[in-house]
Amino acid sequence: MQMNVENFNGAVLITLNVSRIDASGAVRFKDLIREHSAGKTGRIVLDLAQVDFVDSSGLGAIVAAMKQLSTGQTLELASLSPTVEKVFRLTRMDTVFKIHASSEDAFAGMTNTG
Amino acid sequence: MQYVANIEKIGDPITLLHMHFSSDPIAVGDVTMSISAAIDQLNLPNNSLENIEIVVTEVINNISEHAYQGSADGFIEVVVAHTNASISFHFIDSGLEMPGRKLPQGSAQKIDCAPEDLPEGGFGWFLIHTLGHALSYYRKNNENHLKFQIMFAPTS
Repeated sequence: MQMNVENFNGAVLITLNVSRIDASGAVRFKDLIREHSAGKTGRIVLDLAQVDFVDSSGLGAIVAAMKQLSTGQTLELASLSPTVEKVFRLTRMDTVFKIHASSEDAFAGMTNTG
Repeated sequence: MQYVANIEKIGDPITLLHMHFSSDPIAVGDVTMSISAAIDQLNLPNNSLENIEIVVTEVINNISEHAYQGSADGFIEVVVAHTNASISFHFIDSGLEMPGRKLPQGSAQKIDCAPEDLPEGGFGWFLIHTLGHALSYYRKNNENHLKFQIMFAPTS
């Protein structure tokens, strides 16, 4: 599962380079999020622009990824595609996560540190 | 008096697709995409294709994970048909029967709780019940039969 990680001051942007988060990738997804958020404080923003589809297992994995964060870390989402947005809306998980229209919106005003 | 009836076969389902595929959990995504691609050519209204993709994925996941316990050795059969108001699906598998031989309720998950208590599962049947119509399950000749429709009129 491919992810691109960019660090900002007090935040991390993780861009997912996969088209689906589903049952077959759920465990790997959780492990990679844990790995890339370890030791960092602040906002972890997941850019899902390339993700066309998230099934119930994928949704569960995103929730699990949020639950495994340390104190002082939050998980936010950006760029949900229509079908993904629908799954979040129907399950009311769109009220649980902060969702941005784009990663630009999520990071307006922040400087990329590398 | 002669009564000549011009009976139009409105609503007779037209079979679009009849597939057999492996229960291998890894292949679920590919199978769902094949089904979606076949239906996509119909240019369905109202984001029906989104609903189809969501429900079909959950149904196949369930058959693969629960009826066949994750084994790649099972076969799943699906007949997809088209009426003027919906796409109908009939899934058949020879895996384990549903607990109690009936459909799970699929109630909405409680999410008004502390973050650490949020559910990580149980969304699948909720999505199937919310977007699927006329769901039915029966067991016949040691096979599971699951039927449902996705309507063209918007449900959500």
